[in-house]
Amino acid sequence: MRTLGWLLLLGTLGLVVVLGVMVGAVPLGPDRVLTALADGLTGRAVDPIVWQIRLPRVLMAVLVGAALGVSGAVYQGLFRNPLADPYLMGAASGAAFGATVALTLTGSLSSAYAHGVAERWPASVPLFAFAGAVGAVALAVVLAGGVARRYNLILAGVVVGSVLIGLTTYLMMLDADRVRAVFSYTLGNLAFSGWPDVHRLAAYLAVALLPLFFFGRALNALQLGDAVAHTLGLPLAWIKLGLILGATLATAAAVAQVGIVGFVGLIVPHTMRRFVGEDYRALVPASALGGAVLLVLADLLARMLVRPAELPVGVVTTLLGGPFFLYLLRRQRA
Amino acid sequence: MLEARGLHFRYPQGPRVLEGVELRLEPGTWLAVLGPNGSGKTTLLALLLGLLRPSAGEVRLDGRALYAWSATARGRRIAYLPQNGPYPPGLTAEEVVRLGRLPHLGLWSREGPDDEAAVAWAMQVTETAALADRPLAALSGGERQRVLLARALAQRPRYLLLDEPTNHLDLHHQAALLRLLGRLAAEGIGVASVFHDPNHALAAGRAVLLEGGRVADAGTPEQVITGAAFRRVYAGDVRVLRGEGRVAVLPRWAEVEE
Repeated sequence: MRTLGWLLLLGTLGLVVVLGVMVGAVPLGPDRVLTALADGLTGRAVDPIVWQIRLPRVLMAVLVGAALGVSGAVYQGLFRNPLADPYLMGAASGAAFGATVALTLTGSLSSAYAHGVAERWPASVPLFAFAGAVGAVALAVVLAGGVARRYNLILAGVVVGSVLIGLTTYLMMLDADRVRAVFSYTLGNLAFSGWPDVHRLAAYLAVALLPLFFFGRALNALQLGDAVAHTLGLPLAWIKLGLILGATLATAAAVAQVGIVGFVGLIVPHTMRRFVGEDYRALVPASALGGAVLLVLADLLARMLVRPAELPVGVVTTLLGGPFFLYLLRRQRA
Repeated sequence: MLEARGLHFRYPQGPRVLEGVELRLEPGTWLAVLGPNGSGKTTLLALLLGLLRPSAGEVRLDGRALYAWSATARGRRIAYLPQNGPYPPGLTAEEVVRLGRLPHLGLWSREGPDDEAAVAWAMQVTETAALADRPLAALSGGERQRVLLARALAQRPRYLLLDEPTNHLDLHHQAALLRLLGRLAAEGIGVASVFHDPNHALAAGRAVLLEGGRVADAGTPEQVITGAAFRRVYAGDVRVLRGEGRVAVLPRWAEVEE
């Protein structure tokens, strides 16, 4: 039964990936997509629409979705706060701000957006994004007077996030009046993703995200409270530091490549709890798969809703996430 | 032996919470900690667990300073049941009890026969085996308390510290818990439990009375409850009843009695 559930989730991911590659200005049949994928994997000449344009974009959605889904699950477990999420905690906005500062300092902001290609960005951008994200979360925690006050923490995170988005927008407008660039960064956009982006994000996630899969038991123990977790022999300070750095770096790397994609970290873990329960050993990997599925689907919607134009994918996740947040809030109060 | 030697504690810029507390807990004995609110009971437990560091004095575990033990080694010796700790509502009773094996397993090892045996024993003595597959959120307060106790017992500790374990339990479960703690002490565990109700302390082998961060009295529970310090601490608020060779304590509710 358990194995069946995991296979179903993996199968769904495979299905939406193929679907994501099929849909676009030139619709492709599943046979053409599968042939192209097989050709690409065996190193033969490949269909450029599939391999150069659509596949990296879909894989980017997979990676970003997995990063945000896992980060949300880890934040919720770490802060014992069901409303915690990289977007609502200010981490995503802090990352966007840090990345923008890096681009401004290196003078590459306008050129990056002139070409609309994130791959020309300096490789240090995710590190600046990381610093911004860590700073934003720390500020939110301080402003909330600690992590124990559930609603204060989210409120502080949202306020910190709003201010940082304002500053980000200001920096972008200073550098060049590129309103489109601002929109695509503050609302998250997968449209510019190419293979170099996929490789860079994959490298960051290998460091930041994969280790989080092995902390399920620690996250479970943290649910019993710090005092009990301590008496269970956990080196609490180190574990918490590792969890928050891992989840925040994963968020920052994703945001640095594609901009702010909101609410994925909230929607995905809560949906996955319905299927795998509260056990973080299952919840963390399930959130990775669920986040990937959600973001590929959200990107599909972003491409289809206003054809032939496109929406930033962040618009779609925000429209889904807002009502979901209100639903969670009502359930909390009940 | 778990031992407090001249323990002093104060929060930074705060008032003194403990002043020179001496205490010894031997395996196979049961020590009840009594005292009014604010007398330092919970702080004392926190120091014995290594959650707080003493301002002066030290806690010794089996002959070595507590902080000299590794976190996991300490976790194999001392278990703790907090008063109203958070709990994971979605985990099943058995999943929670299994967390008690963490100090033996670490974060990554697979559970072996020892772990299975410890979990089965803990759930059997706390009569929680029938609840194994139910999520904590679906349990009554008393059932949940027993599951959390089973989690502590799954650590197979030499010392078990409990903060007001009878709180929120009905009379039936209070009695069952007190009998269980007596059995655990008889099996060789050193039990230390904070009680609000002095009557519950009568089930223990020994008692200490804290007052303003100091040990005001120590001895058998009967001695402590009938002693002068107890009368002074609860000045006029309790009646100690004697009869059939036993004592019992009632809160005094009328202005003038006897």
